[in-house]
Amino acid sequence: MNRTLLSIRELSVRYSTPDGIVPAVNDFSLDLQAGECVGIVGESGAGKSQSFLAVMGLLPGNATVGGTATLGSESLLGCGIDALNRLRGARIAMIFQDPMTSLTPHMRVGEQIAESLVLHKGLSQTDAMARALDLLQQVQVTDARRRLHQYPHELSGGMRQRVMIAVALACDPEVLIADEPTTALDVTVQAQILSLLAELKRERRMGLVLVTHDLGVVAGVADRVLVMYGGRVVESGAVGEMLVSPRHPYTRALLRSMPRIDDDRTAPLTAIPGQPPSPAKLPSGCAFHPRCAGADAACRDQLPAMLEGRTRAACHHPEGAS
Amino acid sequence: MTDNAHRGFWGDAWRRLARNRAAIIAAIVILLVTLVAFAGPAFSPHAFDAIDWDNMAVAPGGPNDHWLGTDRLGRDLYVRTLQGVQISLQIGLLATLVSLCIGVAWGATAGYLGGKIDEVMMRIVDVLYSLPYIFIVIILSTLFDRGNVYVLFLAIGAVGWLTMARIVRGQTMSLRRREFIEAAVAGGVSTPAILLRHIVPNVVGPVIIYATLTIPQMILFESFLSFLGLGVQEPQASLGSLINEGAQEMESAAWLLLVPASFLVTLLTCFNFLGDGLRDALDPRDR
Amino acid sequence: MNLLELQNLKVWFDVREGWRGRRALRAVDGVDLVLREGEALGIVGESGCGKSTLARAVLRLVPATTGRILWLGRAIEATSVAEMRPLRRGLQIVFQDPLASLDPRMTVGEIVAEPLRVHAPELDRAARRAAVVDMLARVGLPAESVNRYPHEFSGGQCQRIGIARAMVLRPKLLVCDEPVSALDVSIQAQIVNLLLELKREFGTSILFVSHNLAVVRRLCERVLVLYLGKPMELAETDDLYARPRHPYTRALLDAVPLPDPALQPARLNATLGGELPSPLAPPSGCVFRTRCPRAIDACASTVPEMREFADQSSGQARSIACLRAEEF
Repeated sequence: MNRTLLSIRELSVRYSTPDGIVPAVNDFSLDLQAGECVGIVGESGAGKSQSFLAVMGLLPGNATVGGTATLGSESLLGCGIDALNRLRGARIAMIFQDPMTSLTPHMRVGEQIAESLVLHKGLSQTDAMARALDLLQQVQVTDARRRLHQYPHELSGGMRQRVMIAVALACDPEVLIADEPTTALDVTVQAQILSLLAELKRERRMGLVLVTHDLGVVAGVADRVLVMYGGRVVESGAVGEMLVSPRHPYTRALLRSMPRIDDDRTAPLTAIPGQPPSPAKLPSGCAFHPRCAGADAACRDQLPAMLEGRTRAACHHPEGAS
Repeated sequence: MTDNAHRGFWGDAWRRLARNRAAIIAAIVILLVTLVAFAGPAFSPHAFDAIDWDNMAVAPGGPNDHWLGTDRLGRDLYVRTLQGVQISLQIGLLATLVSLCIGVAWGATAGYLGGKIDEVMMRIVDVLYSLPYIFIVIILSTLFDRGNVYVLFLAIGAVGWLTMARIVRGQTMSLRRREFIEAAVAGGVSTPAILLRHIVPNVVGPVIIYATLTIPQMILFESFLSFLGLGVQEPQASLGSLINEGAQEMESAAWLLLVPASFLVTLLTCFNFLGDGLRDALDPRDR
Repeated sequence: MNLLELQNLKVWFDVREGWRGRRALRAVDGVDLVLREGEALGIVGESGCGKSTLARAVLRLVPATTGRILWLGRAIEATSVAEMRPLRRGLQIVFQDPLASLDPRMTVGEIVAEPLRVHAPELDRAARRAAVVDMLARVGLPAESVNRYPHEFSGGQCQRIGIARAMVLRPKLLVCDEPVSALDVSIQAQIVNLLLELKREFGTSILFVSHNLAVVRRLCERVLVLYLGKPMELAETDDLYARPRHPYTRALLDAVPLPDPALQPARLNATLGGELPSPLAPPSGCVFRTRCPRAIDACASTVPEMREFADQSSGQARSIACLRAEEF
């Protein structure tokens, strides 16, 4: 019943820089099912955006991508620009954090949505504009007929994000990747957009990937969660388990260091000491070991394997760390 | 923290510059040419204005000690060319220095203070821009004794500051909105102190780049003036005046044109390469 | 004596609209506030609510249009730049973008020492350096940092440098404009803990401007909620979060995502609809009425004033600007 839409296996991204090879992503694997939402959580340098930019073929020239990524039977990596352009926008689409820079400032909103339809579905301009109007209404843009002819700068942040979603959904893609889609928005608008994404995912039976640093965002929409640190997945599992009783020390520490509006406000926040590593200077063994209270020699020397359990955690001592 | 501690802005920039081979080679060539220009004439027994009646309009490579030949008046081209390089370099550097000082002060003040003061100051620049500088230089050189080289420097520099002022003003205006300037204001730092300690060090990058690219412009400008007969006067020689003489003798004594021209072209090219290299090195990529 | 008092503070900007003339952007439109010594007050709201403008107006980085700003009992809303300078010793600010708030061409030592050079010129080099190293240690940075440049440090460390610079003169008031928004989640907690510690140690009052309601709740004793430049509700923190009375405060708190997969999906469905009106054309009467689930006709004609509201259940005082406050 639930087919796998997107299959990523052992994806790696390496950058060639004057200072040497920088590994941004290592051994990233994911199977995305239809109608499922997977949340990818991590801080800066964790490699969450990089992984999906690699899948979409949007990385700069000095990046080398390894591993496989297939959309159904078609490969997304190493397939040549023509094949990639047939898939991008039509079967797999991506939306980004800042709609102001992702939308073309000198093109009207309607035209931008229509562009994808004309390109991939061969619709005439008139038909494409009619469909664009329909899409704007689907993403709950008020006064859609007027908005169709406006420029991006005339719209608010929330509206622009909706337009970007409309552009992405124009050709009914199977997979939508949302890279920090609400980070730049006000919290009330964020709730509206997330609610919209959840609804669209349900209606269209799409696979939705939600990349974010906010565990609250993930809790509302995702079915599964992958936590990344230092370019690797350190824990993955069902959202219920991951946010209530995770096994990896990093996930646990992250949850403890986040203030909530419903916890004991006088209790001190347990901050994680140190800072997230930059990909150019990853610690040996487990990348989290310098900041982990329960780290020992094995953590320093050996990269931990994924251990099965309630959640899958890449740790030598899962759940044992305090 | 890192193993490249205290790298700072300049260290970083130097590293980037060092990797740019064209720029490094250009810098070395400029240094060599400067060295030769100032030390070179000592090796030749001839003075720059000494007339050698026996060796007039002699081509280089002849059986005499005029290594680069002589001109129509029998003056040694080697020494004259090197003197020309000296003067051209001095003019270029001095004029650039003058335009830098005036331009930075003017532009930083206008850009930082903004409002009416900025408008007035920049309208003055606009007006001065529209004046034909050739006429100004002609007037200046007739007011002072012709060929007073230093007046020439100042005149050229005084005209060259306009673009520098515009560039510095633009940089200052974008800096003014940066948060560290706001922090300084919030900290109670006085306006002159902000200009001196925060604005100027942060515009130094573009200023250096532009200055390095201005030097060849100044040299060229002086050459142009000399070509018109308004630059250095006989018997002094600048690259421009030598090229002027050489152009007149092009058909019969080609070396008179080729020697100073190659020096000029070399210098200009090297300064441009260096300027480009500096721009890449000093340009903050992700800041 | 109160440390800081704002009386009906308004900050309006003139916006030129082409040939149509000028309109006033009412960034801050009538805020009253009292801040006591050693107290932390949070100012929350979404974009366009005027919280950043308010922070800058308090510091006189932006001129106030009308209203009074009283610092230690003295009116400063109209003081000259020169008169303001010595006062700045007691009023410092920490900015949102950690790296941008530090001069990239100066060393960390020079950056943190600058306030000392301006306000404590009697100190010689050695004394200055000692004060700088001491402050850096208090914010958790090693002494060697003095010779390093800002770009060599991470975001969280840069923010510590910014805090060190602000605190080196032991100011009475520290204004923080979204100081943790640009930082990673795991670093935010470090900075929040640092601010709490400094507040405890030096008795500094904090005016904390942020859109992050969870962080504000940890740090502040009282919270002011703003919307389109107007105050909506002001209350003690526990009270505000446990029993929000203003419809906007309620909507705001409902919109904060909880990392609780059992609760959050349902909360997403109860979102506040509508869009923020343009600050250039705010709605008449109560500015929130266009999105308020409890708006009535009277809300369009009357501008609700902030009035004291004695909460029966908790006994704590709060101010609320809503015509129907008693009903909720």
